[in-house]
Amino acid sequence: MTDLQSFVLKEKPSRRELLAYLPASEREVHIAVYRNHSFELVEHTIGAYLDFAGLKAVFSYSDYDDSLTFLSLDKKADLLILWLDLGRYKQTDVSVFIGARIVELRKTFKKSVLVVPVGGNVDVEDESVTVADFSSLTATFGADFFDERMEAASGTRVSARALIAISKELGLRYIPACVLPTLKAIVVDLDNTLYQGVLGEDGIDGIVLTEGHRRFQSVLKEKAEAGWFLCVASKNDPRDVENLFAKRTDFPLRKEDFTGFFASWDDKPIAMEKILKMLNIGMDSVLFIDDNPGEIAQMQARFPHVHTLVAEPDGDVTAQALAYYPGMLKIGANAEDALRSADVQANEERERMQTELSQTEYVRSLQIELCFFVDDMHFAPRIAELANKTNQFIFNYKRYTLEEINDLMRNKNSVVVSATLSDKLSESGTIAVCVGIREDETLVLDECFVSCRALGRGIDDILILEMIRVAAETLGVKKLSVRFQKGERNVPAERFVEKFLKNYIDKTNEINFVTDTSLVNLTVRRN
Amino acid sequence: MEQVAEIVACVLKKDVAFVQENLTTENLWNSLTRVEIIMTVEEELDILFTPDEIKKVTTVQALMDIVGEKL
Repeated sequence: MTDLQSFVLKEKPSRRELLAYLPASEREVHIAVYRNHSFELVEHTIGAYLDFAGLKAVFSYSDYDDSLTFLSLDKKADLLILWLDLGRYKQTDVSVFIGARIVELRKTFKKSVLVVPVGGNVDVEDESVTVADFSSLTATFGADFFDERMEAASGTRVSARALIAISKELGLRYIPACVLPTLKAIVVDLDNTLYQGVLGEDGIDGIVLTEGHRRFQSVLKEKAEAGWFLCVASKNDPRDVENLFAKRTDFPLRKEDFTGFFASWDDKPIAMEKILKMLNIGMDSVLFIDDNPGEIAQMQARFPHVHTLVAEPDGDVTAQALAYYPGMLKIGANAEDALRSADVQANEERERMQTELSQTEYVRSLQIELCFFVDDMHFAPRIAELANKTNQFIFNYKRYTLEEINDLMRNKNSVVVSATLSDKLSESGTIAVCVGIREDETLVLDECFVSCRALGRGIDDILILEMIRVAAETLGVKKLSVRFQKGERNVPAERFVEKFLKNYIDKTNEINFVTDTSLVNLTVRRN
Repeated sequence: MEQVAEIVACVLKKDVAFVQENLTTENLWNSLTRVEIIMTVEEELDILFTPDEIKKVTTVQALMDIVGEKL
């Protein structure tokens, strides 16, 4: 492992080491802490963990406020942490009280909210709010979770050791989950990563599935089932690898758990190139796991922004490191996540069909079903998720929160149109969104984003232009003006705008684009 | 007591010489910093302060005296 990686993921750093750590990350995140007990001791030890996540936090604090009046709320913060000792409340169902206060909070604060309760659990119905789950920590620490000797001086009854554990949970898992895009894909080596041994030397029967590796494979399987792309990049004979998964039925992982299998004698960056192209994602969305630091270094040299983790001889240690790797905690996961891998696997069939048919025949043969939903709050969580993870096909990089999406849907001068896509090969779920605002008699396209796995099926123009048309009809306007912000990675969006929406960039014109909607089965559902 | 001085220096973000020159200086820290120092000393030296002892840690020398009695 790299030094910092080993420090935060493998070792148990001392309090002094954490206090002395000097963060190097420059990406600042402004975190407001609204609290009824002291958080500063967490702030003092969280630096290394946030640094590993590529973040540097600037904390601001409310007064101590059991009543959660939110009168002294820092509304400019990127994230609000509600740091609550539930032991200070007398009411039996404090969740009801906190839920009611969050409803009030949401009238003025629209960014991400993370509730961090100690001394009990909280249920919050608001899907836009994340509640940290420390049940495993409290089970591990038992009575040692609290230490009331210092409470009068420190302002909190949480013990020193528990405070460090909380720093780790917040710094590596919860804060990155609230402010950064989650990772999308895990690419794993095979030898001495998924099992002990070398396939080419020990043979299929000679490699050992240790208990630690069994648990590591099980964790990866759960990730695949939850919607992560799981791929293999291994320097091995592909026939051996094929036989391995066919014969070793004791492995928790089966070949069908993987979105992609790249076993060859080529260097692994070549496999990664193919994986990124197949998945149509950026390198910074991938975590590469390999036991060989040399392979890790080679991968980083070719793909500097890919995330990496060194697999340890003990599979349990690797599984634990994976659980704490920033970007691996997915908040607000939903059923659409599980569609992702099958959808990408279907792309291979689509590509085959594309080479055999004319463009129009190809599109018709896919039997594409497009459904537009207008201001449908059922899709709001998925829309907020897409807004925060799309980097290539996005017009203005607006990272809407769930609450902002809900507000846009409720407002009669704005509209959110979301699109689901399926074809005869797979269901893609919700893959595109456009957000429009009415200004006088014009639809101002405030944002448009599309999941890259939905592009390239020959209907990009139908998808986006018809969403815009539906948005305009909903707001009762006939003119369009499009906002577009050129960024580092949204070249696909820029090309689309140049080709189809040039007349509307920084201008207002009547909507007059034409698409061939006969190529798809298009339905529009309005609430 | 070298280790105690190093811990205090780390928490206060000063060098050890400063700590050694201010062994009896009051108000080097606020209550939260005092807690931070005590938590770090407890962890490294595997000792526990009583609530009364915590209150008495008002100078570096007082801290060293309490630690000395425990070791």
